[in-house]
Amino acid sequence: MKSRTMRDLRKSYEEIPVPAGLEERVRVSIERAKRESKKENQVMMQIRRIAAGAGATAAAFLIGVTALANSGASIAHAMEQLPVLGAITRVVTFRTYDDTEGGASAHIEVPSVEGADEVNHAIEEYTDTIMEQYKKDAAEMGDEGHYELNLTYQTVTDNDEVFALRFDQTLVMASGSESVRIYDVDKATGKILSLSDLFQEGSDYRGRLVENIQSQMKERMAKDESATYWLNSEAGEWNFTELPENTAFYLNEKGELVVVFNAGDVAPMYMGVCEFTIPSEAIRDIANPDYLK
Amino acid sequence: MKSAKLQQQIENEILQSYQSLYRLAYSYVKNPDDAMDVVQESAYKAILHADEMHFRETVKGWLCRIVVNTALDLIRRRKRESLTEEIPETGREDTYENIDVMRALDTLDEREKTVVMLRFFQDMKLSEISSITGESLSSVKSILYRSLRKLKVKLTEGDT
Repeated sequence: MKSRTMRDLRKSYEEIPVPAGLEERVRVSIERAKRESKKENQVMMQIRRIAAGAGATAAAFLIGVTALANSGASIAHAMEQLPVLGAITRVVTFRTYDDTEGGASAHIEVPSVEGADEVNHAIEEYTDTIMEQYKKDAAEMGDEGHYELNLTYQTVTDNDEVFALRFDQTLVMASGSESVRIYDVDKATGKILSLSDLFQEGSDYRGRLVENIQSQMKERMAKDESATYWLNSEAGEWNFTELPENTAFYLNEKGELVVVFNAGDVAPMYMGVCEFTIPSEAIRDIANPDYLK
Repeated sequence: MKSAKLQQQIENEILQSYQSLYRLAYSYVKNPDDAMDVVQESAYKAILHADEMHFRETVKGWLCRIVVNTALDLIRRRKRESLTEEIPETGREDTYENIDVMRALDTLDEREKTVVMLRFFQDMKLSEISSITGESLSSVKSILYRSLRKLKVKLTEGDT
Protein backbone atom coordinates (compact mmCIF):
# COMPACT_ATOMS: atom_id res chain seq x y z
CA MET A 1 0.00 0.00 0.00
CA LYS A 2 2.66 2.41 1.09
CA SER A 3 5.01 1.55 -1.75
CA ARG A 4 2.29 1.85 -4.35
CA THR A 5 1.43 5.22 -3.02
CA MET A 6 5.00 6.36 -3.13
CA ARG A 7 5.25 5.11 -6.69
CA ASP A 8 2.22 7.13 -7.68
CA LEU A 9 3.69 10.18 -6.06
CA ARG A 10 6.95 9.68 -7.83
CA LYS A 11 5.19 9.22 -11.14
CA SER A 12 3.33 12.44 -10.62
CA TYR A 13 6.58 14.12 -9.60
CA GLU A 14 8.32 12.98 -12.75
CA GLU A 15 5.51 14.37 -14.84
CA ILE A 16 6.30 17.89 -13.71
CA PRO A 17 7.00 19.46 -17.10
CA VAL A 18 10.47 20.89 -17.69
CA PRO A 19 10.53 24.10 -19.78
CA ALA A 20 12.21 23.73 -23.16
CA GLY A 21 14.54 26.66 -22.64
CA LEU A 22 16.12 25.24 -19.51
CA GLU A 23 18.94 23.30 -21.11
CA GLU A 24 20.16 26.34 -23.01
CA ARG A 25 20.08 28.48 -19.88
CA VAL A 26 21.93 25.87 -17.90
CA ARG A 27 24.62 25.68 -20.55
CA VAL A 28 25.03 29.44 -20.47
CA SER A 29 25.44 29.30 -16.69
CA ILE A 30 28.03 26.57 -16.94
CA GLU A 31 30.04 28.55 -19.46
CA ARG A 32 29.86 31.68 -17.35
CA ALA A 33 31.04 29.81 -14.28
CA LYS A 34 33.90 28.21 -16.12
CA ARG A 35 34.97 31.52 -17.54
CA GLU A 36 35.01 33.13 -14.17
CA SER A 37 36.63 30.42 -12.20
CA LYS A 38 40.24 31.31 -12.30
CA LYS A 39 41.97 28.08 -12.48
CA GLU A 40 45.13 26.51 -13.72
CA ASN A 41 44.00 25.63 -17.16
CA GLN A 42 42.56 29.01 -17.89
CA VAL A 43 45.27 29.31 -20.49
CA MET A 44 43.79 26.51 -22.49
CA MET A 45 40.33 27.90 -22.28
CA GLN A 46 41.54 31.21 -23.55
CA ILE A 47 43.00 29.51 -26.56
CA ARG A 48 39.76 27.75 -27.28
CA ARG A 49 37.72 30.86 -26.88
CA ILE A 50 39.91 32.82 -29.20
CA ALA A 51 39.98 29.93 -31.63
CA ALA A 52 36.21 29.91 -31.72
CA GLY A 53 36.08 33.61 -32.47
CA ALA A 54 38.84 33.72 -35.05
CA GLY A 55 37.28 33.75 -38.47
CA ALA A 56 38.90 34.37 -41.82
CA THR A 57 37.69 37.97 -41.92
CA ALA A 58 39.22 38.68 -38.56
CA ALA A 59 42.65 38.05 -40.01
CA ALA A 60 42.67 41.67 -41.16
CA PHE A 61 42.96 42.71 -37.53
CA LEU A 62 45.95 40.55 -36.93
CA ILE A 63 48.09 41.91 -34.18
CA GLY A 64 51.51 40.50 -33.71
CA VAL A 65 52.45 39.88 -30.14
CA THR A 66 56.13 39.63 -29.67
CA ALA A 67 57.67 37.53 -27.02
CA LEU A 68 57.62 39.00 -23.55
CA ALA A 69 60.56 40.99 -22.39
CA ASN A 70 63.52 38.80 -21.58
CA SER A 71 62.02 35.73 -23.10
CA GLY A 72 63.27 36.16 -26.65
CA ALA A 73 66.83 36.82 -27.63
CA SER A 74 68.22 36.34 -24.17
CA ILE A 75 67.06 32.76 -24.12
CA ALA A 76 69.55 30.58 -25.79
CA HIS A 77 68.11 27.58 -27.52
CA ALA A 78 68.80 23.92 -27.57
CA MET A 79 71.10 22.44 -24.99
CA GLU A 80 71.95 25.66 -23.24
CA GLN A 81 73.04 24.84 -19.76
CA LEU A 82 72.42 27.07 -16.78
CA PRO A 83 74.42 26.02 -13.77
CA VAL A 84 72.73 26.37 -10.39
CA LEU A 85 73.65 25.48 -6.86
CA GLY A 86 72.35 22.93 -4.44
CA ALA A 87 70.61 19.69 -5.25
CA ILE A 88 69.48 21.03 -8.57
CA THR A 89 72.45 21.15 -10.85
CA ARG A 90 71.27 22.66 -14.09
CA VAL A 91 68.52 23.22 -16.59
CA VAL A 92 68.78 21.96 -20.11
CA THR A 93 66.47 22.20 -23.05
CA PHE A 94 65.38 18.63 -23.17
CA ARG A 95 63.71 18.96 -26.52
CA THR A 96 62.15 21.56 -28.75
CA TYR A 97 59.05 21.10 -30.77
CA ASP A 98 58.83 23.08 -34.00
CA ASP A 99 56.02 22.69 -36.41
CA THR A 100 54.45 24.47 -39.33
CA GLU A 101 51.19 23.30 -40.72
CA GLY A 102 49.12 25.41 -43.10
CA GLY A 103 48.69 28.76 -41.39
CA ALA A 104 49.75 27.45 -38.01
CA SER A 105 53.16 27.28 -36.45
CA ALA A 106 54.50 26.42 -33.04
CA HIS A 107 57.75 26.68 -31.17
CA ILE A 108 57.73 24.91 -27.84
CA GLU A 109 60.74 24.47 -25.61
CA VAL A 110 60.68 21.68 -23.10
CA PRO A 111 63.33 22.08 -20.42
CA SER A 112 64.49 19.52 -17.97
CA VAL A 113 65.82 20.29 -14.50
CA GLU A 114 68.44 17.87 -13.33
CA GLY A 115 67.75 16.41 -9.94
CA ALA A 116 64.12 17.53 -9.75
CA ASP A 117 61.81 14.77 -10.88
CA GLU A 118 58.67 16.33 -9.48
CA VAL A 119 59.23 19.49 -11.48
CA ASN A 120 60.11 17.62 -14.63
CA HIS A 121 56.96 15.64 -14.39
CA ALA A 122 54.88 18.79 -14.01
CA ILE A 123 56.69 20.46 -16.88
CA GLU A 124 56.10 17.52 -19.15
CA GLU A 125 52.42 17.42 -18.37
CA TYR A 126 52.12 21.11 -19.01
CA THR A 127 53.99 21.14 -22.32
CA ASP A 128 52.17 18.02 -23.50
CA THR A 129 48.78 19.67 -22.99
CA ILE A 130 49.91 22.68 -24.95
CA MET A 131 51.24 20.57 -27.81
CA GLU A 132 48.07 18.55 -28.00
CA GLN A 133 45.95 21.66 -28.05
CA TYR A 134 48.11 23.13 -30.77
CA LYS A 135 47.81 20.03 -32.94
CA LYS A 136 44.07 20.01 -32.51
CA ASP A 137 43.66 23.69 -33.27
CA ALA A 138 45.99 23.51 -36.26
CA ALA A 139 44.11 20.56 -37.73
CA GLU A 140 40.77 22.30 -37.25
CA MET A 141 41.98 25.49 -38.80
CA GLY A 142 43.53 24.07 -41.97
CA ASP A 143 45.06 26.64 -44.31
CA GLU A 144 42.84 29.52 -43.32
CA GLY A 145 43.82 32.04 -40.73
CA HIS A 146 46.94 32.51 -38.75
CA TYR A 147 47.97 30.83 -35.56
CA GLU A 148 51.32 31.12 -33.94
CA LEU A 149 52.22 29.61 -30.62
CA ASN A 150 55.42 30.19 -28.71
CA LEU A 151 56.38 28.66 -25.44
CA THR A 152 59.72 29.63 -23.99
CA TYR A 153 61.22 29.36 -20.55
CA GLN A 154 63.70 31.23 -18.45
CA THR A 155 65.14 31.01 -14.98
CA VAL A 156 63.71 33.89 -12.98
CA THR A 157 64.89 33.04 -9.50
CA ASP A 158 68.15 31.41 -8.66
CA ASN A 159 69.33 32.17 -5.15
CA ASP A 160 70.64 29.93 -2.42
CA GLU A 161 67.28 28.46 -1.50
CA VAL A 162 64.89 28.88 -4.35
CA PHE A 163 64.97 28.27 -8.02
CA ALA A 164 62.12 29.33 -10.30
CA LEU A 165 61.51 28.47 -13.90
CA ARG A 166 59.15 30.67 -15.83
CA PHE A 167 57.23 29.75 -18.95
CA ASP A 168 55.93 32.46 -21.23
CA GLN A 169 53.32 31.46 -23.67
CA THR A 170 52.36 33.80 -26.47
CA LEU A 171 49.61 32.99 -28.84
CA VAL A 172 48.93 35.04 -31.94
CA MET A 173 45.62 34.59 -33.65
CA ALA A 174 42.97 37.14 -34.52
CA SER A 175 44.42 38.86 -31.48
CA GLY A 176 47.19 37.92 -29.15
CA SER A 177 47.16 36.54 -25.68
CA GLU A 178 49.86 35.95 -23.15
CA SER A 179 50.06 33.76 -20.17
CA VAL A 180 52.67 32.76 -17.70
CA ARG A 181 53.37 29.74 -15.63
CA ILE A 182 56.17 29.54 -13.12
CA TYR A 183 57.55 26.54 -11.31
CA ASP A 184 59.27 27.52 -8.06
CA VAL A 185 61.48 24.90 -6.58
CA ASP A 186 63.13 24.45 -3.21
CA LYS A 187 66.71 23.79 -4.16
CA ALA A 188 67.47 21.68 -1.16
CA THR A 189 64.62 19.27 -1.62
CA GLY A 190 63.58 19.64 -5.26
CA LYS A 191 59.97 20.18 -4.16
CA ILE A 192 57.71 22.57 -6.00
CA LEU A 193 56.88 25.53 -3.79
CA SER A 194 53.48 27.09 -3.52
CA LEU A 195 52.83 30.63 -2.45
CA SER A 196 51.76 29.47 0.99
CA ASP A 197 55.20 27.95 1.59
CA LEU A 198 56.71 31.42 1.57
CA PHE A 199 54.65 32.47 4.57
CA GLN A 200 54.22 31.41 8.13
CA GLU A 201 51.57 28.83 8.68
CA GLY A 202 48.18 30.25 9.54
CA SER A 203 49.01 33.78 8.43
CA ASP A 204 46.57 35.63 6.23
CA TYR A 205 49.13 36.15 3.50
CA ARG A 206 46.52 36.13 0.79
CA GLY A 207 44.63 39.00 2.37
CA ARG A 208 47.87 40.92 2.84
CA LEU A 209 48.95 40.40 -0.76
CA VAL A 210 45.56 41.38 -2.13
CA GLU A 211 45.63 44.58 -0.09
CA ASN A 212 49.09 45.48 -1.31
CA ILE A 213 48.32 44.69 -4.94
CA GLN A 214 45.08 46.66 -4.80
CA SER A 215 46.90 49.74 -3.59
CA GLN A 216 49.55 49.29 -6.29
CA MET A 217 46.78 49.08 -8.87
CA LYS A 218 45.31 52.32 -7.58
CA GLU A 219 48.68 54.04 -7.77
CA ARG A 220 49.35 52.85 -11.28
CA MET A 221 45.94 53.92 -12.50
CA ALA A 222 46.37 57.36 -10.93
CA LYS A 223 49.75 57.79 -12.60
CA ASP A 224 48.89 56.40 -16.00
CA GLU A 225 45.56 57.06 -17.66
CA SER A 226 45.87 54.17 -20.05
CA ALA A 227 46.33 51.66 -17.24
CA THR A 228 43.21 49.81 -16.17
CA TYR A 229 42.84 47.12 -13.58
CA TRP A 230 39.68 45.49 -12.41
CA LEU A 231 39.36 47.17 -9.09
CA ASN A 232 36.20 49.22 -9.00
CA SER A 233 34.82 48.39 -12.38
CA GLU A 234 31.10 48.14 -12.94
CA ALA A 235 31.45 44.52 -13.90
CA GLY A 236 31.79 43.82 -10.20
CA GLU A 237 32.26 40.11 -10.49
CA TRP A 238 35.55 40.63 -12.31
CA ASN A 239 37.01 42.85 -9.61
CA PHE A 240 40.22 41.73 -7.99
CA THR A 241 39.31 40.82 -4.45
CA GLU A 242 41.08 37.55 -3.91
CA LEU A 243 44.21 35.81 -5.01
CA PRO A 244 43.57 32.86 -7.32
CA GLU A 245 44.87 29.59 -5.89
CA ASN A 246 47.59 29.05 -8.46
CA THR A 247 48.89 32.55 -8.90
CA ALA A 248 52.37 32.54 -10.44
CA PHE A 249 55.26 34.10 -8.51
CA TYR A 250 59.01 34.30 -8.31
CA LEU A 251 61.66 36.10 -6.30
CA ASN A 252 63.58 38.89 -7.96
CA GLU A 253 67.30 39.50 -7.55
CA LYS A 254 66.67 41.52 -4.40
CA GLY A 255 64.81 38.59 -2.91
CA GLU A 256 61.46 40.36 -3.17
CA LEU A 257 58.32 38.48 -4.03
CA VAL A 258 56.94 39.17 -7.51
CA VAL A 259 53.36 38.10 -8.21
CA VAL A 260 52.42 37.50 -11.85
CA PHE A 261 48.95 37.39 -13.40
CA ASN A 262 47.97 36.13 -16.82
CA ALA A 263 46.58 38.52 -19.38
CA GLY A 264 42.91 38.95 -18.57
CA ASP A 265 43.12 37.83 -14.94
CA VAL A 266 43.21 41.14 -13.11
CA ALA A 267 42.95 43.61 -15.97
CA PRO A 268 41.58 43.83 -19.50
CA MET A 269 43.42 41.63 -21.99
CA TYR A 270 45.24 44.55 -23.58
CA MET A 271 47.17 45.09 -20.35
CA GLY A 272 48.93 41.81 -20.98
CA VAL A 273 50.71 39.90 -18.24
CA CYS A 274 50.67 41.97 -15.02
CA GLU A 275 53.43 41.81 -12.43
CA PHE A 276 53.48 43.26 -8.94
CA THR A 277 56.55 43.43 -6.77
CA ILE A 278 55.62 43.17 -3.12
CA PRO A 279 57.90 45.30 -0.91
CA SER A 280 59.58 43.15 1.73
CA GLU A 281 58.46 45.41 4.60
CA ALA A 282 54.80 44.83 3.69
CA ILE A 283 55.07 41.13 4.49
CA ARG A 284 58.10 40.83 6.72
CA ASP A 285 56.17 39.89 9.86
CA ILE A 286 54.39 36.95 8.21
CA ALA A 287 57.15 35.78 5.86
CA ASN A 288 58.75 32.38 6.18
CA PRO A 289 62.42 33.25 6.75
CA ASP A 290 63.51 30.08 4.93
CA TYR A 291 62.60 31.64 1.62
CA LEU A 292 61.82 35.31 2.05
CA LYS A 293 64.46 37.59 3.51
CA MET B 1 44.40 20.39 -12.54
CA LYS B 2 42.25 18.73 -9.92
CA SER B 3 39.63 21.40 -10.07
CA ALA B 4 39.45 21.33 -13.87
CA LYS B 5 38.71 17.64 -13.80
CA LEU B 6 36.16 18.06 -11.07
CA GLN B 7 34.48 20.91 -12.91
CA GLN B 8 34.17 18.70 -15.95
CA GLN B 9 32.53 15.99 -13.85
CA ILE B 10 30.14 18.50 -12.39
CA GLU B 11 29.31 19.88 -15.81
CA ASN B 12 28.54 16.39 -17.12
CA GLU B 13 26.33 15.64 -14.16
CA ILE B 14 24.44 18.92 -14.56
CA LEU B 15 23.76 18.28 -18.23
CA GLN B 16 22.60 14.79 -17.41
CA SER B 17 20.35 15.66 -14.51
CA TYR B 18 19.20 19.25 -15.00
CA GLN B 19 15.62 18.06 -15.49
CA SER B 20 15.58 16.25 -12.21
CA LEU B 21 17.21 19.26 -10.52
CA TYR B 22 14.50 21.42 -12.02
CA ARG B 23 11.77 19.26 -10.48
CA LEU B 24 13.51 19.41 -7.15
CA ALA B 25 13.64 23.21 -7.34
CA TYR B 26 10.08 23.41 -8.59
CA SER B 27 8.81 21.49 -5.58
CA TYR B 28 10.00 24.32 -3.38
CA VAL B 29 9.37 27.46 -5.39
CA LYS B 30 6.30 26.16 -7.21
CA ASN B 31 6.54 28.12 -10.40
CA PRO B 32 8.54 27.53 -13.58
CA ASP B 33 10.30 30.91 -13.74
CA ASP B 34 11.72 30.72 -10.24
CA ALA B 35 12.59 27.06 -10.66
CA MET B 36 14.56 27.84 -13.81
CA ASP B 37 16.37 30.64 -11.99
CA VAL B 38 17.24 28.31 -9.16
CA VAL B 39 18.65 25.64 -11.47
CA GLN B 40 20.62 28.20 -13.44
CA GLU B 41 22.08 29.78 -10.37
CA SER B 42 22.88 26.39 -8.88
CA ALA B 43 24.73 25.24 -12.00
CA TYR B 44 26.80 28.39 -11.82
CA LYS B 45 27.60 28.02 -8.14
CA ALA B 46 28.37 24.32 -8.42
CA ILE B 47 31.09 24.88 -10.98
CA LEU B 48 32.50 28.11 -9.64
CA HIS B 49 32.80 26.72 -6.13
CA ALA B 50 33.77 23.19 -7.12
CA ASP B 51 36.65 23.28 -4.68
CA GLU B 52 34.24 23.61 -1.76
CA MET B 53 32.75 20.22 -2.49
CA HIS B 54 33.37 17.68 0.27
CA PHE B 55 35.69 14.98 -0.81
CA ARG B 56 33.30 12.29 0.33
CA GLU B 57 30.30 13.84 -1.35
CA THR B 58 28.98 12.60 -4.69
CA VAL B 59 28.60 15.11 -7.50
CA LYS B 60 24.87 14.52 -7.55
CA GLY B 61 24.71 15.12 -3.81
CA TRP B 62 26.66 18.35 -4.19
CA LEU B 63 24.22 19.55 -6.86
CA CYS B 64 21.15 18.62 -4.82
CA ARG B 65 22.57 20.39 -1.79
CA ILE B 66 23.05 23.59 -3.78
CA VAL B 67 19.62 23.41 -5.42
CA VAL B 68 17.85 22.86 -2.10
CA ASN B 69 19.71 25.71 -0.41
CA THR B 70 19.26 28.07 -3.34
CA ALA B 71 15.54 27.31 -3.49
CA LEU B 72 15.10 27.82 0.24
CA ASP B 73 17.04 31.09 0.07
CA LEU B 74 14.77 32.33 -2.67
CA ILE B 75 11.65 31.45 -0.72
CA ARG B 76 12.96 33.23 2.37
CA ARG B 77 13.94 36.26 0.36
CA ARG B 78 10.46 36.40 -1.16
CA LYS B 79 8.89 36.14 2.24
CA ARG B 80 10.99 38.98 3.61
CA GLU B 81 10.27 41.14 0.58
CA SER B 82 6.56 40.59 0.76
CA LEU B 83 6.61 41.39 4.47
CA THR B 84 8.48 44.65 4.11
CA GLU B 85 6.64 45.80 1.02
CA GLU B 86 3.33 44.65 2.42
CA ILE B 87 2.29 43.08 -0.81
CA PRO B 88 -0.30 40.42 -0.22
CA GLU B 89 0.99 36.96 -1.07
CA THR B 90 -0.88 36.19 -4.20
CA GLY B 91 -0.36 35.27 -7.77
CA ARG B 92 3.09 33.85 -8.01
CA GLU B 93 2.48 30.30 -6.94
CA ASP B 94 0.09 27.42 -7.08
CA THR B 95 -0.68 27.19 -10.75
CA TYR B 96 0.84 23.75 -10.90
CA GLU B 97 -0.64 20.93 -12.83
CA ASN B 98 0.77 18.11 -10.79
CA ILE B 99 -1.65 18.56 -8.00
CA ASP B 100 -1.20 15.15 -6.41
CA VAL B 101 2.42 15.30 -5.57
CA MET B 102 2.49 18.99 -4.81
CA ARG B 103 -0.43 18.77 -2.46
CA ALA B 104 1.05 15.80 -0.73
CA LEU B 105 4.40 17.52 -0.33
CA ASP B 106 2.73 20.63 0.99
CA THR B 107 1.56 18.73 4.04
CA LEU B 108 5.21 18.43 5.01
CA ASP B 109 7.46 21.11 6.41
CA GLU B 110 10.67 22.05 4.62
CA ARG B 111 12.91 19.54 6.35
CA GLU B 112 10.48 16.71 5.81
CA LYS B 113 9.93 17.62 2.21
CA THR B 114 13.65 17.68 1.50
CA VAL B 115 14.24 14.29 3.06
CA VAL B 116 11.30 12.67 1.26
CA MET B 117 12.23 14.06 -2.13
CA LEU B 118 15.89 13.15 -1.87
CA ARG B 119 15.06 9.66 -0.67
CA PHE B 120 12.21 8.69 -2.96
CA PHE B 121 12.54 10.94 -6.00
CA GLN B 122 16.32 11.28 -6.22
CA ASP B 123 17.11 7.79 -4.88
CA MET B 124 19.64 9.00 -2.38
CA LYS B 125 21.03 6.95 0.45
CA LEU B 126 20.17 8.05 3.96
CA SER B 127 23.82 8.79 4.66
CA GLU B 128 23.96 11.05 1.60
CA ILE B 129 20.82 12.84 2.68
CA SER B 130 22.36 13.38 6.06
CA SER B 131 25.40 15.05 4.54
CA ILE B 132 23.26 17.18 2.22
CA THR B 133 20.90 18.43 4.91
CA GLY B 134 23.39 18.56 7.73
CA GLU B 135 21.05 16.47 9.91
CA SER B 136 22.36 13.46 11.77
CA LEU B 137 21.62 10.05 10.32
CA SER B 138 19.19 9.19 13.10
CA SER B 139 17.28 12.41 12.70
CA VAL B 140 17.08 11.85 8.94
CA LYS B 141 15.53 8.48 9.71
CA SER B 142 13.03 9.84 12.14
CA ILE B 143 12.08 12.69 9.81
CA LEU B 144 11.57 10.14 7.07
CA TYR B 145 9.27 7.94 9.16
CA ARG B 146 7.32 10.90 10.43
CA SER B 147 6.88 12.16 6.87
CA LEU B 148 5.73 8.81 5.61
CA ARG B 149 3.13 8.67 8.33
CA LYS B 150 1.90 12.13 7.43
CA LEU B 151 1.83 11.41 3.73
CA LYS B 152 0.04 8.14 4.13
CA VAL B 153 -2.68 9.66 6.22
CA LYS B 154 -3.30 12.43 3.79
CA LEU B 155 -3.20 10.19 0.80
CA THR B 156 -5.61 7.63 2.13
CA GLU B 157 -7.98 10.41 3.09
CA GLY B 158 -7.81 11.77 -0.44
CA ASP B 159 -8.28 8.35 -1.92
CA THR B 160 -11.46 7.50 -0.15
